[in-house]
Amino acid sequence: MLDQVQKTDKASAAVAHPLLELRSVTISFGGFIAVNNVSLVLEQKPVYGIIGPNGAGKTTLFNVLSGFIRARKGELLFRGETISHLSSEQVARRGIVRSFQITSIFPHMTVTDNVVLSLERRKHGGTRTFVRANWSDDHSAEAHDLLDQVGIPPSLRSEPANDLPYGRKRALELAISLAARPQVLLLDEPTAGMTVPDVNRTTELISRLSKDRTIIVVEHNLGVIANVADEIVVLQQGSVLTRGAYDDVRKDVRVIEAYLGKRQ
Amino acid sequence: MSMLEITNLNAYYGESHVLHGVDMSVDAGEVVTLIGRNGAGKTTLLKSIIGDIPHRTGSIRFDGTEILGLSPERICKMRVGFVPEDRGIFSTLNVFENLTIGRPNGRDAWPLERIYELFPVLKARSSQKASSLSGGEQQMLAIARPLYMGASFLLLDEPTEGLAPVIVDAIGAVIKQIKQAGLTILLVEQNLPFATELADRHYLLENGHIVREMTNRQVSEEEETLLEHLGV
Amino acid sequence: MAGAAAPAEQISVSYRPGIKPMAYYITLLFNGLVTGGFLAMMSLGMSIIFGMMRVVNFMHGSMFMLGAVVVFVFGSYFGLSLWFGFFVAAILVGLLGVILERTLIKRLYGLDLAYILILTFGLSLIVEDIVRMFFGVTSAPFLVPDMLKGAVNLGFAFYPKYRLFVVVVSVVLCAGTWFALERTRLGALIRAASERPNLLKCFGGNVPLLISGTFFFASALAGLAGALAAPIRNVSPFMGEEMINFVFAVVVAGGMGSIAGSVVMGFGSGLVSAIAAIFYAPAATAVIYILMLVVLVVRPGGIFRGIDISHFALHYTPISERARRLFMSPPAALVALAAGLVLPWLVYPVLATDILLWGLFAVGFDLLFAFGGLLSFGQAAYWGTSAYVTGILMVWVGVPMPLAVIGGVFASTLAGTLFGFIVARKKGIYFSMITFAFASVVYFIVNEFADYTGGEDGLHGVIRTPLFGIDLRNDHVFYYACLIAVGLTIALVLRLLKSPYGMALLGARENERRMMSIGYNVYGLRVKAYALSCFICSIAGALYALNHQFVTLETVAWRASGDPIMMTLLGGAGTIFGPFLGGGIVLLMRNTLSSITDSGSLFIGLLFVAIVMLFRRGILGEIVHHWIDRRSATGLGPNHDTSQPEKAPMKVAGIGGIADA
Repeated sequence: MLDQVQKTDKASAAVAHPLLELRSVTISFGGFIAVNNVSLVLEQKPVYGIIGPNGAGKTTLFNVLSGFIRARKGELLFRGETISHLSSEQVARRGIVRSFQITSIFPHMTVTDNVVLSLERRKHGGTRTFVRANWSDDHSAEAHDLLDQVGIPPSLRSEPANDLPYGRKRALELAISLAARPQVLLLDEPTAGMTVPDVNRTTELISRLSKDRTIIVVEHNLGVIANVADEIVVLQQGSVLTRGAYDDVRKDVRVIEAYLGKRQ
Repeated sequence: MSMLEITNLNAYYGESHVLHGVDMSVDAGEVVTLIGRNGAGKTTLLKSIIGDIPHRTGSIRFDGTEILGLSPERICKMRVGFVPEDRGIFSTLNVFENLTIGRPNGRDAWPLERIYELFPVLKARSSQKASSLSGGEQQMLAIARPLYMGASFLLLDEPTEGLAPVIVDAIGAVIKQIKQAGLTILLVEQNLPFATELADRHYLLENGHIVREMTNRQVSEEEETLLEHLGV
Repeated sequence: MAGAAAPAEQISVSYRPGIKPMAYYITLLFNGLVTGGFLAMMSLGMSIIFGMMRVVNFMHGSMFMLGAVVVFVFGSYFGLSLWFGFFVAAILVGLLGVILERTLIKRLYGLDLAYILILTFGLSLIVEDIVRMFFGVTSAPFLVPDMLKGAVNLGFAFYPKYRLFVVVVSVVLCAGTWFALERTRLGALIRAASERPNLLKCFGGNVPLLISGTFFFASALAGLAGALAAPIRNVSPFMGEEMINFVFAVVVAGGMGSIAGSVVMGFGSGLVSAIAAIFYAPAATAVIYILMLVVLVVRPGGIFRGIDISHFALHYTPISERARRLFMSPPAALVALAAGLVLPWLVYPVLATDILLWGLFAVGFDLLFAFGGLLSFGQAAYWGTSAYVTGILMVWVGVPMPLAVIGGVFASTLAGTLFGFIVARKKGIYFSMITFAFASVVYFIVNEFADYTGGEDGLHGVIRTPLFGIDLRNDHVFYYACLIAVGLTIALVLRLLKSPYGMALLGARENERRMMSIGYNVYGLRVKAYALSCFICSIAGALYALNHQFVTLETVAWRASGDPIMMTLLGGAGTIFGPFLGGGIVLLMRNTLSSITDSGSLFIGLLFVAIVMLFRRGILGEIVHHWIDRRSATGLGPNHDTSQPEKAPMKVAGIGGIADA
């Protein structure tokens, strides 16, 4: 019910404004320009893939979109509203939730508590102090549902998150993000370092999750990108080199050069 | 006999097992590249050779000596030079201090004049803070450093990464000259044309395994397939 | 006993009646430079060590004191000249620094920064207590060599030659150090090792040697500063404590790890303190702290750009989630309650109440430490403030006892909450140093308003009165009243920790970025935790005033901030009841050992060192770790990766890897 209301809201908003828009955003560290005057409009699509060689500015772009780096030059808009001035937690509360390149979970908490923490924040703000002792039971159905979705079996759920194997940790991270019920989900190299079965599982999961939201993926594994992305944005040296469908981008001479160097 | 002979090398980063039974060798005077997708273990392999990865098993022989258990200082003194992926510039040091941070070691150490001849920019900027150099200039500095120390074997980690095409060409020219000067080079590279132009042989690394050894011709012919391997 | 007005004391020394006012002021400014010279030399060494090894060396103040003591001993017992004394002091203190680095500090590289802070804190207690056994407070003007005796005409005034000499030497040493660091090859190597130690190894640099050399130099500099100070300041075991307070303030304000920052702020603080003293003599000390607080609010990273340590969050994970749940379960509370009920029949009731209240104080500290990931070195500010406000309300205002307690707790918690808004933005070692400095300001205020607080004599006449017909004057009765109050507070703490807020606080300690990315306001969580901690410390403090029926300066002194840290670590951080156990052990030890050494702090210091080096989980933490965690770990399914080596309980992520140096 609530979902539906949200969806219609989304739909009507999308007509008027693009989902996300960067207007001439520049980010520099010291003298190094990581993102160079980028203007980019992202619509309400299931999956965007962001690719580009190392140092192209992909992670910096993610940091800007999620408020971890504030765009001092330029502007960032979410559904037509400027969010450049917001802190990362405020951006997250608007519904833009990110993951990190390095697995980012709460290692000493149990697997379920990792998800409960995120659910509690979304439903009750996360700072309730005087509640009955078994408050987390309220979340358990939804937590287990999310863990089912990302494929973490019940037998592992009361272990400390740190004891999960690597692929499961990444899945858990995804569940934490999903618990925040994002409208936009930013995934930074979700399959990095994964084994082939894990990669396949993650790819399927991304496709499934994108039915309810827009997912933006930074990924080195172009196989994954080819499978899931509806549109690809290619970055090079802090600028947008080109964008388009996978097959077009793949054949673009500039893209091949950016990755492989110029033919002599 | 090979200059560098690696057998059954395993390396670990914390809990993750990064290199799985790597076997490879580099002969004196050769330029060999490692190609593979990000996260395949190329940088880990270079760091394992220089001794910067504490947790390793297997064998790494350099000039006939087992160096697996040695500290980076010792390996460096055996004239193995390292150019790390991030160029390894000490940002609080000026260009000259960066260049001369290691001591010249042996007769083959390049005198400053010879280095400045190959890298004039390092002379012009010698008293500038190294962090103020452009990416290409920093790369030059990073390559010059082991030459000053008299390295006979160079580990080069993605020297063209993030650089403009003109600069990439310049770096290529420099590496060629270094090769002509008789140095042996193990190069990590994703830029295939760049790699084939410089190298004699290639190893393809995938998920911490060496999956193939390739010639220049094979690399050029199979570029399409390799794109997949490189994740492009 | 801490934070005494050293600069002020020194200023009065050179005042001579009959000098023209202008010359008098200039003389004061020169005295400011002398103070500044000591501060600069000390801060410089502290900064170099921090820059290189990310070590906050609490021992640095003791090094200063040892330098002075060495010079005094060699001068007065062996009759050696001061020139030779300088040399010997620098070498001996430098060697002590190297020995400590090689034997103890080295073993903690790669662990949380807080461990080294605690280790060096313990070492400084040991050193100071040992010196106290042989040494009282003396002055040693006779040490000044003949050629530096008398005064020199500066044109506008006569100024003592020796003081001028101190200014010149400190300026030359600071300039020389700067030159060596910035303009020589050795300096380049040191900077390279500070920046990327592991990379330097790949170029053949001998990093461990550079580290030891740096430790030698910085310690020698501190020893020399102490030696220089010996003839013009009181030589006493306490001079290091006074100094380290200022040095913390200077280094934080100057920018941690910035050479220029520590030198400029060192001399600057000396001058500002001298100028402040012109208007109001006692402000000489406070102004340094105020300067620091202002800098931190206006320019959080310090005046000069130092090393960004804000992301060096505390990674203290003393006990497992499983163990934590065990301690938070009803059986644990029942066992603790049973112990609480019998305690006053095992030790005399005033001591039993002390154990209870110090334990609660430590729980307040531990809430921030084990659950919030913040190591406060200044919680005594609230323990003491609450005790004093309660006392003052009763003695000077005549407020009835229960209202006075409420007033004391309220005032102290309010102060803590306001300060919390500033300090909760800081993390890691920054947080520790700022809370330490804030506590020093509170100490200063309490000492300054001696008319109301009684100053060094303490505030007497805080008499317990009956409450609701219960005679609290009886020590046993008062104990049980306190037990109820403490029990209720612990119940509140348990409730908090089990609530969503408690879980969020743990989450922020575990992974701050992740918390922000799912929408948590981490800053807000920390402000609240700080306020809660202050509230708990304040309750303990107010009751403590009633227990002894008078309040001493000791309650706001820096040792009072150190005690709860040790009690917590000893008993087991994060174990809720561990701090009470730790408090009991410490107080009993102090009670029995104070007859052997002056204050027992030698043993306390040894305990500190032992905890940090040997059992970092604390008594309860280690017991649970060995009996519960180990056993269940072997019983886990195939998914439990037993191949990985047991991790150190507190590992730092994201520190430039000096770990394997």
